[in-house]
Amino acid sequence: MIGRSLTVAQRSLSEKALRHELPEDAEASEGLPSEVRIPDRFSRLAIAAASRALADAFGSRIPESLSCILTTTFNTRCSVEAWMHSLSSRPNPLVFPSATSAVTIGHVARVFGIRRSVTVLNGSNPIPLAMSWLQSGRESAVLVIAVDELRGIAPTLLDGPLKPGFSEAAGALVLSNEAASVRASCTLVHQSRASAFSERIYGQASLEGPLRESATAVLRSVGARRSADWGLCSVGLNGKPCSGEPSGWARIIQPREISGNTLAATPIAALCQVIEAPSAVWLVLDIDPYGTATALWVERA
Amino acid sequence: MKRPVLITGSGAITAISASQDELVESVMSGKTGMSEVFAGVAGLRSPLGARVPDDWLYRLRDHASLDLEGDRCLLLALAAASQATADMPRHEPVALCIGLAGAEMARVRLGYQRVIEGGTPDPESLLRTAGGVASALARRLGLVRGFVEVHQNACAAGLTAIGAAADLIRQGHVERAIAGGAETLDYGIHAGFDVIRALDRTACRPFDQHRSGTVLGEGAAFVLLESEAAAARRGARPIARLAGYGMSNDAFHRTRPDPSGFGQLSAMEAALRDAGVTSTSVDAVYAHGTGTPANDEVELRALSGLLGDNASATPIASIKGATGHTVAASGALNVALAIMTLQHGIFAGNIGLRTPIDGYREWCLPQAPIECSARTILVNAFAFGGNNGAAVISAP
Repeated sequence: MIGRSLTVAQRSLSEKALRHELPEDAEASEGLPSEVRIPDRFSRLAIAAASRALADAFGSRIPESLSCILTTTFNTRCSVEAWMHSLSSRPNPLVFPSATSAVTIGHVARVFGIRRSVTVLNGSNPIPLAMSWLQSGRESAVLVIAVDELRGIAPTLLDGPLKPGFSEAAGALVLSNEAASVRASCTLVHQSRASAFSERIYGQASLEGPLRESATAVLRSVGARRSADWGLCSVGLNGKPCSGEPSGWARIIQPREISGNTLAATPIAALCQVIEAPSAVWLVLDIDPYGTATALWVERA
Repeated sequence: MKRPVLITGSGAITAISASQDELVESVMSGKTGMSEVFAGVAGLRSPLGARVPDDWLYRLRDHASLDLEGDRCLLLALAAASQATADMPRHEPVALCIGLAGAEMARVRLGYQRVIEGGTPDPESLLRTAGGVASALARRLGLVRGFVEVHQNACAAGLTAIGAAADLIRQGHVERAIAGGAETLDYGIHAGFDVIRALDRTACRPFDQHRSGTVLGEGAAFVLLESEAAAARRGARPIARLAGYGMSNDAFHRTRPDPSGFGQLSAMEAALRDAGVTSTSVDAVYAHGTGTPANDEVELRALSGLLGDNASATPIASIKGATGHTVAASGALNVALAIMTLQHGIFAGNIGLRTPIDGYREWCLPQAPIECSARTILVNAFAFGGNNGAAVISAP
């Protein structure tokens, strides 16, 4: 991992009204050509996050070998909402394309000249797929972007047994096989996933099973046992570690306690915090809104 | 040496066939699934769509809690994925990699309609996302272990999901994966394609000189992918191999493909490289072929660059004139068609094609199904945002 950016709204939905939004300067994409016009805020947030991570990783020279994965939980819901309003009166041809996240990643690709593999994930942790591309040799550098835009009606309805306290966020990481010019380096050694297959967003009260299964698989694969020298970075549940998480760790970080539940950006928030933290070896646990848990074993260079 | 990825099950449902088994009969008979689905809806330029008959979905109504409209995408996905996984062990870890685009659109649209009409917002509708549809599919397929990965790069999503699943098996993360895509024909998406003038008012005519747009369709297609070891353990017979896949982006325009065809060619070249074959090995191509003025000529240009001297002799077909453009399912449906060709020696025709595009009249763009003893088939899927995918499907 060689580049990063993360912007998180510090206020959450639990504070009533819609004051969870990122400030407008979070959409700013400094240094972009003036002719690049991006019509929707979701895409502008993605580009802004990507721009900062790419600058952190490569300065002004973006390599041609760059690929990209965008992940989002609520997708382009604000544009979908605008399209629905447009449909009820006079359908607007300028609004419909923005309702598709494939168009968002197309904007990102166009702005940064990305011509290699790209895809969009819905709510899934993007790191395992990025690792798959890197470890298979399919790609040598992956820009991973996570965005959730919490304007509009739908996010105000979020609730459930976990009462997570959501925050709007846009984050990006650059993962690379080439660690020569590393500024913020860590190696993602292994990943494992397991799921509770929840049909409702944050609808599963008990997620210990997937967390335990994925954590155990990663620890087994790297031949590790719990150690006082290693850190645990976990999304936890209700802001606390769940009973399925291993105990006895030297340090525990919970991104949700620091930045709220940043939805799809949570794994990026976790890795950004791991880079800054004192321990060099971390188990990073994350669970997506539908119950797929991901465990990452991270060794900081 | 990459670990081989075997295809041991395949399922499909479209407007012309209720199952993978029926697909060959429907293709042979030249059946089309087009009708005026949205007839009488004010303001639409095109009422045409290719809808799966409801009675095919009623066969699944043991899933009694599902709604024929709001849960339509899930029903379609269940129909196809159930065929592909009929004899699959349920208690071992399985990855579900799925491509979805408008999966949740019907419920979301109905939810917003209620709000716009002054009703109380309904969280069940407005919080529906593709991830929930995918998890619902996993549960209803009876999976007890594994995980879900949802791809949403529009018309390339189903093929991207299949490629991602293959990589998981190659790298040993899982031994078995269900992969494919599903799409429902919903007014919210139809109206969007209509207003950007991407729809033809009379028919979908892939590679025709006079084509003027696509026709949207609904359906789903899934494959069961397994490692050699996993298939051997349960005595499963492979029906095909997923030899390779590739992706690219045009980095050009939000809805139009790069006219040079560079991005599409890059994806196809990447798929061949991944499969460890050259273009001379390609026996046939199931193309994206949407019938839109922009896509089809670019795709033939890209294929010309890929296949060189062999281009004009290589059979190329798009099924969209019969099934409509099944968006997120379209790439996975092309994989299902490739499997059909490998199994039955029948290659689908370009339904709706009368006069091939100028400059390509000598190419092998069959207007009706032909016999074809292909061993290696290239399949394409391209999308809004310049997202391109391609895969190589080979005989087992």
